[in-house]
Amino acid sequence: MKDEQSDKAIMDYLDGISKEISNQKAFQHAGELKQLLSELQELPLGKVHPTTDAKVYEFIENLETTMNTESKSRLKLDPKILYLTIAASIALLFYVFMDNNGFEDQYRLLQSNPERLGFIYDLNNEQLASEDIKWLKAELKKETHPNIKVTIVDLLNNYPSKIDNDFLNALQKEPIPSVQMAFLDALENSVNPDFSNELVVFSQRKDLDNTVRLKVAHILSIQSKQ
Amino acid sequence: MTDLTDESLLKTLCNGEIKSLGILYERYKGILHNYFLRVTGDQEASNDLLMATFERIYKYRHSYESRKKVRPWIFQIASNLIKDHYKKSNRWVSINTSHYKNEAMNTEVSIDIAAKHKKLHKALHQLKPSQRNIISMYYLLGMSYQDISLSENISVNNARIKTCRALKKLKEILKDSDL
Repeated sequence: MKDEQSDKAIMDYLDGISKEISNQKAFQHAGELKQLLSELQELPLGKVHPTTDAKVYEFIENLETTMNTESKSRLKLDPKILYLTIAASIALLFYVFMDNNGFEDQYRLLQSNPERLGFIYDLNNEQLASEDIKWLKAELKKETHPNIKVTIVDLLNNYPSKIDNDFLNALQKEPIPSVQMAFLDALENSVNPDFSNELVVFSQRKDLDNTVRLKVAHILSIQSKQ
Repeated sequence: MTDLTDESLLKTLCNGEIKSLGILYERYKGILHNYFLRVTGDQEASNDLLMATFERIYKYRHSYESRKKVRPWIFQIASNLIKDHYKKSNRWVSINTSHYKNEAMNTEVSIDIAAKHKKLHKALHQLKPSQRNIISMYYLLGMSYQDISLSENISVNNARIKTCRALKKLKEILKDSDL
C-alpha cells in the first residue's frame, strides 16, 4: 500500500500534476525517473524500410483497384482480342527494352508507385553518371508521391557534391515533414556549406513540425561551429 | 485532402475513399514503426506489424466510433498486434543494435551518446515485453493512462502504477549495468 502511494506520488510528479514530493527520497527517485524518461525520448528513431512503404502502397492500390472493379460493370472482351493485345504489349515492351538501356528509359516503363519506388531504391547499388543525376533531379521536381521523393533524395544524398540550391528551393516548397527531413539530411551532408540564412528563414515557418525545426537547429549549430 | 483531420480521413475511408488510408499511413508510419521496433527489437517483425496495422485499420474501419479520437484507436490496434505477436511467437528476439553501430559511425553523433543509447536500448530489452510495451506506450506514443488502461484491460490507476514500476525496473537494470 505504501509502495502504491509512493508510485502514485512519483507519477503525479512525472505527469506534472504535482511539483514536489514530501518524501525527500521519493522526490530524488522521481527526479531520476524524469531524467530517464527524457533519455528515452532522445533515443534515435529508425526509418521505415522503403519495401514496407511499397507493400503498404501496393495494398492500398489493390484496394482501389478492387473498389473500381466492383463499382464498374465488367468489360467483356473477346478472348482472341485479349490474347492478341497481351502478345502485342509483350512485344512492345521487349522492343523498348532492347532499344533503351538507360535508367531513365527503364523507369518510364514502370506503371505503379511501388515499382518506381523499388527501382529508385535499387539504384543505391549503382554508380550513377551525371546524366542520371540530372534526370533524378528533374524527376524529383515532377514527383508528387512523398515516399518516392524521399527515396530519390536519399539516393542523391550519396552524391554530396550534387546537392545544391535546387534542394533548398524544393525544401522551401515541401509541405510534408518526412520529405522535409530527407531534404535536410541531404543539405546536412552537402559539401556546399552556406545554406544558413535560408535555413534560418525556413525554421521560422509557423507550420513547421517540431522534429523538422529541431533538425534545422542541429544543422545550423554544426554550420556555426564550422 | 492532406489537410483533413484524422477523424475526417477515417470517415472518408469508410465512405470508400481509399487514398485516405495512404495519408493516415504517412502520418503514423514513423511513430508506429518505432513503437514496434522498441517493443520487439526486431526490424523484420516491426515492418510486418506496421503493414498489419494498416490492414486492420482498413478491415475494422467501420468499427471506429466517430465521436472518439482516431489516434488512440490506431494505437489500440497497434498494441493489440504486439500482444498477438507475443502470443504467436512466444519467444524473445535478440536485440539488434546495428542501428546504434551506424549511429556511432556518424561523425555528428559522439561515440559517448551512441554508447548511451545502446545501453538504454539493451536495458529496455531486459524488461518483460509487457513492461517494455507499457513504457513505449507512455513515452513514445504519448498515450493517456485512460487509453493504456483500455489497451491493457486494467484500471486507470493500475495503468499508472504499472508504468511507474516499469520505469523503476528500467532504472534498476541501468543501475546494475553500471556496477
